[in-house]
Amino acid sequence: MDDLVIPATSSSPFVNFLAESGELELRGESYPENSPRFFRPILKWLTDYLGARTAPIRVAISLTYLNTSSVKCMMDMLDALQAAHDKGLSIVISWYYDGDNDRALDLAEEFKEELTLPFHIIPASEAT
Amino acid sequence: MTDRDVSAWLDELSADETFRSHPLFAQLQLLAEKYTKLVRRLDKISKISDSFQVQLKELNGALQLAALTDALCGLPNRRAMIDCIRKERNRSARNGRTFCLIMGDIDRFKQVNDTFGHEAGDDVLVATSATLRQHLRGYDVCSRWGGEEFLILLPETTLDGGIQTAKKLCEAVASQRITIANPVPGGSFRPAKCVDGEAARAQTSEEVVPRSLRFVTGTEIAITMSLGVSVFDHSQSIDACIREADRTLYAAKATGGNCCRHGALAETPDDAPGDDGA
Repeated sequence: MDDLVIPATSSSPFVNFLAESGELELRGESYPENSPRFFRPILKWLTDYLGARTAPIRVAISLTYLNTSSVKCMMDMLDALQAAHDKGLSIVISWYYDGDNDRALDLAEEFKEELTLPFHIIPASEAT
Repeated sequence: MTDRDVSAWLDELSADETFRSHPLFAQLQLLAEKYTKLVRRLDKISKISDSFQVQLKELNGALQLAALTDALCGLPNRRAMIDCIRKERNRSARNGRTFCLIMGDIDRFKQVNDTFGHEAGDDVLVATSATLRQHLRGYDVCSRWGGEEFLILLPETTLDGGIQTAKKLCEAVASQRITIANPVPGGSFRPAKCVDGEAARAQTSEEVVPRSLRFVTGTEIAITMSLGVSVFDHSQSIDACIREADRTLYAAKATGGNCCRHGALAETPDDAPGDDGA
């Protein structure tokens, strides 16, 4: 399966999904004019990938801003990851946030609440 | 209907054998569960989205504050001050009361920087800002206008009141003692060891430390400020009033500094001219 790499724009995040290594990264801000249109191919790639993948997956998310429709799309992606995890696939999510911003931590907690798979909330300064 | 309402409704139906044994009950249960999840998800998305909006609002507020505040001294900057003066001019037009502007400039500030370095210059600016602020009324506005220049707005103040305030500030700045964090840049400075300003001047190496900078102790210096006062006249513009304060400030500088002057160029009584060029 090919990698999925989408460069960041001023309103959409950098997407760097590496099929072979199982490292999936989303970084930046997300408020595209049409979020479903932006996320549709990403969700499609992810669904296909999760259906075929057997080795562990590591997801790194560092999103400083999401508009409402992007939040919905992100939830759909997290649901897909959760479903794959429930079927036995090893998935770990690392959510990076601005360590100086308490509200960013609260937001990360809100996403974590929706999931039971391993979800690590990490201050951005500790990112490697 | 909330997710809890749906759960309660479903529990109620489940308790009734007639409904529980209905062939569509299992599908109804499934539908209710999906609906419950959907409602919960909608709440969650709204909550997260609201949090992002609040975060954005807070960041905007911080940005706006930063755009209007001098980062070093914490005083309003030039842009913020112009807004304040405009508002005061409008208020003055309504209530018929005048206001004053005071332009203050630290005497021989360049010598502080040249002698001790820019960090020491920053110490002087921060300390002087605090001194000015301490000696003003709560509703007066003290801004950092430029490098070592401070513009002060005195709402509802006559020229006499402005002059009195300027004199008070002049004395307060001259009597403040500023601790220099690093008093020996490059080891070229031999600090004085006495407390008296004049004696300190006499004991200090004249070729290294300009005699206009008075050393109180090894790590403390005293500086002075010149001030110009103008009173706002509704026939003039704000720019003209600021220019007048600036012009009178330079009149004060021309007499040696460490004093204040006002629009009529009359020397204020009891002022203390400096010892050399300001």
